[in-house]
Amino acid sequence: MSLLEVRNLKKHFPIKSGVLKRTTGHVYAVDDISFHVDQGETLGVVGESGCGKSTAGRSILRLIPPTAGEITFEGIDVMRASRSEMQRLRRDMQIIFQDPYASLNPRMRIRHIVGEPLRIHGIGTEAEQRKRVFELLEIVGLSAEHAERYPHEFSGGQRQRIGVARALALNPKLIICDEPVSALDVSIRAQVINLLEDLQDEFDLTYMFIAHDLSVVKHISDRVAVMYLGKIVEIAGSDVMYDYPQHPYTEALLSAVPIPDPHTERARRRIILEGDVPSPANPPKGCVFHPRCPRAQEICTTAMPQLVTAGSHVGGHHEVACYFPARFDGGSRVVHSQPFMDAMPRGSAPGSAPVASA
Amino acid sequence: MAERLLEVTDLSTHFFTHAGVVRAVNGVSFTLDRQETLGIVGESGSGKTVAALSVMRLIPDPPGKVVEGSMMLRGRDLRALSDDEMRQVRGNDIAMIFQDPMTSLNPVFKIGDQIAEAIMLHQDKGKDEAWRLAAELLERVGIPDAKNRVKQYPFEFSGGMRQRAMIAMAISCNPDILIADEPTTALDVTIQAQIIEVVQEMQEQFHSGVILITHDLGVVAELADKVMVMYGGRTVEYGSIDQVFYDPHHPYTWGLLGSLPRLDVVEKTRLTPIKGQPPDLILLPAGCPFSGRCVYERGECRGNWPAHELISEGHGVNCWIPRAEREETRAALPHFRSAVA
Amino acid sequence: MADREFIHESGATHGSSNVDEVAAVGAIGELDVLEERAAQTAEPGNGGAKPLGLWADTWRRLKRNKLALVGLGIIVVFMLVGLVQVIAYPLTDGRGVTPYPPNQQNYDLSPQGRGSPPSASHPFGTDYMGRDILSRVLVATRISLLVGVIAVAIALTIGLVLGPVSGYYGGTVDSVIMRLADIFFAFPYILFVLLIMTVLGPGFVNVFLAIGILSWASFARLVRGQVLSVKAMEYVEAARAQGASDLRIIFRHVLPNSMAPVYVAIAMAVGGAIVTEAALSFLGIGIQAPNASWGKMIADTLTYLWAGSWWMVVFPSVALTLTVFGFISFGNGLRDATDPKLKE
Repeated sequence: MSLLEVRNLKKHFPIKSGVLKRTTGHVYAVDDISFHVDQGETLGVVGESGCGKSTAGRSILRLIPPTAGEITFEGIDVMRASRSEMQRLRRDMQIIFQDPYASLNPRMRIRHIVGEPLRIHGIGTEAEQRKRVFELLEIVGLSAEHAERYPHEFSGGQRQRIGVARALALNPKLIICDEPVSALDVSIRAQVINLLEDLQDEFDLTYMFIAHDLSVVKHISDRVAVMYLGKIVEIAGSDVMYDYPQHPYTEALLSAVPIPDPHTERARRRIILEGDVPSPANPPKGCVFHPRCPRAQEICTTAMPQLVTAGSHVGGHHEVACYFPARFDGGSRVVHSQPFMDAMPRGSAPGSAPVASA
Repeated sequence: MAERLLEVTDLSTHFFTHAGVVRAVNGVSFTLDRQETLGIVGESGSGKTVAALSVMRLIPDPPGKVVEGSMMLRGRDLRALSDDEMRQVRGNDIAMIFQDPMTSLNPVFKIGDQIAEAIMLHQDKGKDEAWRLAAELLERVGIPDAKNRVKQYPFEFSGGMRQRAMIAMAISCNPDILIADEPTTALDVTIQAQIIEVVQEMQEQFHSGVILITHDLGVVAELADKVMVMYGGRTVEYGSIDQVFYDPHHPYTWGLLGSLPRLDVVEKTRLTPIKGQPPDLILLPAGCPFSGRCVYERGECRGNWPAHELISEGHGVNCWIPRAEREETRAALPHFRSAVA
Repeated sequence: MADREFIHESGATHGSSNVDEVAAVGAIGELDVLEERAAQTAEPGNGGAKPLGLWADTWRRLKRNKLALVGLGIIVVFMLVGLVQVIAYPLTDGRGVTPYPPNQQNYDLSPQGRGSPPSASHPFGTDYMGRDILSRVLVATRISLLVGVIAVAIALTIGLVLGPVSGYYGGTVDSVIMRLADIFFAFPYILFVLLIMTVLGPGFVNVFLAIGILSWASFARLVRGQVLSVKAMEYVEAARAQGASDLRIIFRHVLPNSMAPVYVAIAMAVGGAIVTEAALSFLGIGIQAPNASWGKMIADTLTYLWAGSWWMVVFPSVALTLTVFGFISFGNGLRDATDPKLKE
């Protein structure tokens, strides 16, 4: 059994306008995604702005109440958990945020920030809590003397470490890392990435690592899910994804990432996508990627393809949501001209649109 | 032999604040030729943006001041120009595009207005013609349906399109030099790829020189011909793209290259971070600003700024480690066993 | 808890650290960031630049504003005098610390029934009953201080609970509370106070209650504005992720970070409360005899102005004006000093 199982997760934000605040539409931030995360592994989630990855992460913790779907943590139904069950769950599932400047209360001392989870859950006496806070600060590479200070006295990288210390306070099993290094200087990113990796080994942590930087995600993740406009379009092992991308969006994403190596850069074949990312309030009908897809055909406008296994692949679980996935039979890349009908959703009529109202 | 457009020598820009003197740029020198792209690489506190603003004379005074150095634009001394003359230079000879297109475009004016304004300011053209040129420019930078979009407001443009509009504004007067300050940092990676392409195309068309300021070594590897690595207000290393990426001589450059996770690496290796924190610009040491974080630091580093050392033509470094020792140390670093071809 | 706005997702910047995110246009922005960076310590104990505290910067900017400093000086003097009087009043059986008992009538000092002008023994003169005006002015400080402190405290207690609750929960709760606030705003202030005083009856305590009850709305609205932006901050999300109760979040995280405009409002409100009390007493429904307040003193002695006894009116008026001016100009200075966008 996986540590975390997500089935058909949806989060639709209503758009209210007019004097009467009537719901005129929805933002389909997360639109029917399913995945699992096993104990001890790191699942990377990549995508560009508006793809829904941050919303997905927060929905799992019920920081944003999901519109629909099932979330199971260690067999417990998160969606239907009572208040007290949820409190228990919160000890096991934590989150690290992106912005080191906004994720710490500027008016609280570090020891209060890091120790707050302990106080909320009533763990330990005051003396024990203080000891634990010092312990946590040491674990993340800071020292006990930092405990009396305020966040503004620290640099971005240090503040992120404090955020990590806070997340570790309750000995969680799963940590959602929401772009934890994006706001940091390049030379500091490596520090925090290494820290996260070390902590994972030391405490047998499970990560859901959300980021837009593919290089970072590839480095730290065991498996990677690629999101686009609220859908997962491909999910595979980290190395497999990068060497054998099947979905056209994944291919474009990979080719767009600049590599800090001039020779490699000059030799690369670039796939430049046309146009902008559409608004999640108005997703395209059928496959959400088809307007920008270099190999879109008529069938792509009918229904969003399901995430399924396509063709033989190099070891490990590899799923893609595409009617024309690239295949790597025998080492060479090939795209069939006939659509891959396994991806067609069962029992759905052509032209079915995404869920319109909650 | 390409024309020399810009020659900056020993530039120093300091900010005199109540908390102390912020020595943002110290003794920085670089040149830019026609159709050349110079990448200025550095992190926060490196001074790269301040250096560019100094060239544009956009440093607010008080509290900032270019305290030393010369900046020659095709032979003209930029520091000697009057405010009016400098205003003529800005936009016309040197144009700048900034990181965040959302705050650099005026939200209450149409895109066409903003581009036309630049045109009318620097060229003797009437309003109608300026607008016509504006629409043409938008088309040139790849905005579809340019004739109608030119009448829209910034909020109707997406991030990538706004950046294109900024580029259109910048090239509207055919400047010799385009300074791009983190032009793609706030953009999605697929949009980033588009913008990089636009910049390259514009450079081809207008034969301009480009100064690209960024922290992203990948973008530099893609766009630049030569690189200048800055740290704590100083240039620690400079050279051609190949020289700096494949034959780096400064510990900070090694650190940068080694701390980056790479897409094309096959085995999973541990990243080699640079220890410590970004520099405090008020309390910079008299010597090398990197000394506090340098694993190879030695006695003289903190107190004396190392003399300039020319490694090969166009490739220079400022470091106290003797050359032989440097090359030996570098060879032992994990990420160089594969990279140094 | 209402749905989060989607803006947070699409607005995420993919940039580097804080410094690099500043657009160079208006390089002032970059300068601010450079300053902030320079003010942070890199490592503890490395002799780094002294970290500027949360108030140190405000104080430094405030120091440059001469008018605000004068205001602060007046406030300090007022507070000291008032505090002394408040403490001494019950101990000295209603006299306070004054040169003469404030209610001691001495018709010798009021020859034509219109008091005597300022002299060496009575620097502010005497009133029509021969009472020493300086003493009365001093003892009336007590009333003004109490009004300022208690009325504003009442308003704050109500406003700093309703405001954050309204802003944090949004939806119906917010609408109801804000409409309630609107009602309080819509009524002409003095009229409303008069109404309440008529219901409660005149008197010492009722004055405080009346003023306090009516002033909560502006605090609530101010705080609510800040709360709206603070509640979207990630540290609030972090608290929720840890399982913090709403109560804890509102009063430990949101409210303390929403106070910035409130401090200015407090300064102004104290000034306002003092003036309102004066007006009430002037109209006869505030402080009653034998208590003395500046407003009452002015009311009682206004007619003597025509008789030429200017000192009876002028001194309490000056005390009143000066005190209120002190609060207002300090409040203005504080607002300017805490405004991040104001160029120095």
